[in-house]
This record gives sequence, structure tokens and C-alpha cells, in this order.
Amino acid sequence: MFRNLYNKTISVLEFLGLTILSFSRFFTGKARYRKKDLLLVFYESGPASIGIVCLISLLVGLILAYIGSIQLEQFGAVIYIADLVGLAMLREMGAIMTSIIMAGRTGASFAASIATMEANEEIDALKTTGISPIDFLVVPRVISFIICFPFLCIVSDLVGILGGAIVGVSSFEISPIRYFEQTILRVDLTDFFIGLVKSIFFGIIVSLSACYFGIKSKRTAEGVGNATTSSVVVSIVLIIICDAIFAVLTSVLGI
Amino acid sequence: MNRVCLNIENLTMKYEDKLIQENLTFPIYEGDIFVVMGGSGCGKSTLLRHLVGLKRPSSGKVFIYNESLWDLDEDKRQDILREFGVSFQSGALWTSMTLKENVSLSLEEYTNYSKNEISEIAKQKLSLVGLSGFEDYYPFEISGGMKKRAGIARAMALDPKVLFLDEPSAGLDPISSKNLDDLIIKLNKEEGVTVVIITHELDSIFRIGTNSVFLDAETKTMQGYGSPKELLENGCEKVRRFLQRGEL
Repeated sequence: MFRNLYNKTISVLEFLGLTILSFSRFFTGKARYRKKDLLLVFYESGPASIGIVCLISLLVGLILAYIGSIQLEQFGAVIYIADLVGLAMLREMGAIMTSIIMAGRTGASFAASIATMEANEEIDALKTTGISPIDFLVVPRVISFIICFPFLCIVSDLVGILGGAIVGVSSFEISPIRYFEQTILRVDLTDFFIGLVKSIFFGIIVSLSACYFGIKSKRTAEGVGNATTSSVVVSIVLIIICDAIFAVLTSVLGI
Repeated sequence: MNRVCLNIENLTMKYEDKLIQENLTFPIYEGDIFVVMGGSGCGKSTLLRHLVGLKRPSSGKVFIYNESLWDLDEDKRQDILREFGVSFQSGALWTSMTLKENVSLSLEEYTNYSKNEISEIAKQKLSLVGLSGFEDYYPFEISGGMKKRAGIARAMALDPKVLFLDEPSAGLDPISSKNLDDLIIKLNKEEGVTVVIITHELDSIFRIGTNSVFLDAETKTMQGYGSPKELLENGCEKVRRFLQRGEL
């Protein structure tokens, strides 16, 4: 058991080391990748994911508003639904929901496609051509997630707030202008940036997890399935752990 | 006798802790069509992975033109391995690219040719394997035999000195298989490429092989080295039985 754990640790460290080296090659213009592939993964990570991110965020905003209203209505303080939804979306739910959706959608797709390439010996073919699979497959995916996650997080924040507003306006007769004024009054740029910074970290976690399990998968159909499952499960666990660390840090720093 | 291009010395191959083959020692000469043969699971494909630098030996050495592959620094090793072309069992074409893009990739990486020149060379390589007119097809749009030929075209892109083919005729119909053998002979004779071919197709072995090694799955050692005809006549019982489809 300890040997297995040791081997896995070495394997993860080796992968991270190679990825750092590839990034240094990328920033010095020496990494080998196709611009066409980079654009394709950008599309998969950004525009192609906006629809599902919007839908889930809208529903999360609705749910938060309804849950909050149960307690707040008793004190005649339903206007504070705007505070609750705004704060929750900006600091936590926007980044977390975006990351979980992306881990299950694009992250799983990346893991499956890379694992299939491994099973079909396409990654060996890259190596024998002298092209680093990390340069060619991992770096474009990590970069696309680092860039797309904050944008998706902003979209998620706004749509979540809109979801809360729909509940506030339609069920509790708060005027739309009053709702948004209350939101702006409560949330500030710090809340916004905390969510944004988190989303960048979550993007790195999801993309690295997807690529790691894809590249290290066994060369069987079962291996592809396991890589996909492991990628999603590990991504979500690491996102929650990372979020907990952020919660402690922001609390300690008083922000 | 031609000069040795690959020399395998006391090579022991393991997969995790499982021994695959041990103490393999044999040379591969320039200009040969060298056949690595043996029953299923004897380690033929694993040997290929060791020869092309995909796997480090558990012990022993692989010399390429007198340079020990794993004693070289990474850059030098990559330079030497660029002299090799590898075609994998399934073709291993990159599925997100057309056949022309598959062939062009290494040219884009390692040559200073213009886009038009690269396109022309890629077309020429595809034509060499009988795939003219299929340049813009994706791998999922062509048959298994065509994929294998496209894999050979890709392996030939940088005009390698040594071409490694992993079971090129496995799963092909007899006519496609014969055409592939003809192609291998053509590449060897006309382009001067040394070919290392992994197969257990007896027709191919006798038709194209000029030299060979037999790997045994039971003893996990090599059991014969020489031309397939020599092994058929003078090889040990196990090798002769293999070469006569189990009849002795």
C-alpha cells in the first residue's frame, strides 16, 4: 500500500515538474503545440460551456433566494435576499459552480480524449516524433482553463444574482431597481476578486487533474472510463479542499 | 556485411515487476528487413518500445550507431531518434488531424520548408503508400489498412534511416497484406530504409525478412537469430515449429 502511494506521489510530482518545464518553454516560445488545437480547446472551455454555466447559476440563484427567504420573511427582511444571493454568488457559488460544471463537462471530456489517445498509441506517436505530449496536449488545456474560468465565473455571478432578483421581484414584490441597489450596497470589489482568484486556482486544478488522469490512463476501454471518473472525482474533492483553504485564509486576513 | 545500425546488448525488459525478456543480444544491420517474431505475449511490441526510446531497459543497453541510447542526454537522444520512423500497430494517427496534417507535423517541427513545400512533401509521402487523393480525409473516414499505410507515410515524413513497423499486416485481408509487403520491400530497396518489422505473419516473414530474431514467451529469452530461411532449416525445434505453423 505504501509503495503504491509512493509510486503515485512520484508520478504526480513528475507530471507537475514536466508541466512546469513545458510552461517555461511556452513562455519562451519553444513549446510545440498547434494554434488550431489551442483555439479548439478555448472554444470548448469558454463559449461552448456558457449555456450550461448560465442555466445552473440561474437555478442556484433562485434556490439561494428561496432558501434565504424562509428565514428572512419571518423578520420582514426579505430585501436582504439581495445581500445573501450577491455575497454567496460572488464569494463562493459562482466560482464553485463554474468549476464543478467544468470538471464534469469539459474536464471529463479532456480526460477521456487524452486517455483515448493513450489507448490508441497516439501519445507514443507524439513522443517518437520528438514532441512532448505535455507541450502538445496539457499546456493548451491548462491555459485555456486559466483564461476562461474567470470569465465563466463572472457570467455565473451575474446570472446567479439575476436568479435571486427573479425570486425577489416575482415572489416578494421587491422592485428590480431596489434589489440591484441593495446588492451593490452589500457586495464590494473584494468579494468579486476573491471569487475571481478562486476560479483561476480551480481552473488549474480541473485542467491538471483531467490531463494527468488522461495521460496516466491504462490502454483499455476501462482505462478511459476510469480516467474520466477519477478526473471528475479528484477535481471536485480538490476544489472543495482549495475552497476551504481560501475560506480560512480570507478569514485570517479579515477580507 | 553492412555496418551495424542497432546493437542490443544483454537487454532485459520488465513491465513493472514482471519479466518480459532477458539478456537479449543481437545486432541489426543497415539495409536489412529485420523481423522480430515470436508468439503472442512474448514481448515483441515491448522490444520495439525499448528500441525507439519509449521505454528504458531494466538492464542492458541499446546502441544506435555505437551510441548507447540511454547514456545520452535528452537533446542528443532526440536527435538520434529523429533518424527513426515508427508506425504503430493501430496506425496511431492523430484523430484530430487530416492525413496530410498527420504527415506534415514532424516536417513543420524539424524542417525549414515553406507551407507549400511541406504540403507537397506530405502529398508525395501519402502517394508513396498509395493514398493519393486522401490527403484531406480524417483517420475515422478511412479503412484499417489505409490507416496503417498512412501511419507508414507519417513515419517516412523525415526520410528516416530506420523504419519500425509494429504488426503492419495484422488484421488486413490477404491482398492488402501483400500490398503492404510490396510497399515495405519498395521502401527498403528504393529508399534505402532499414526496416525493423514486428510480426507473426509467416507469409510476410518469409517473403520480406532478410534477418530475424525469435523471442520465446516461455523461456523469456531469444531462441534464434538469422534469416527466416536459415532458422527454418537450422533453428532449434521451437523456432522451426513456429515457422511451420506448429507442424514438425
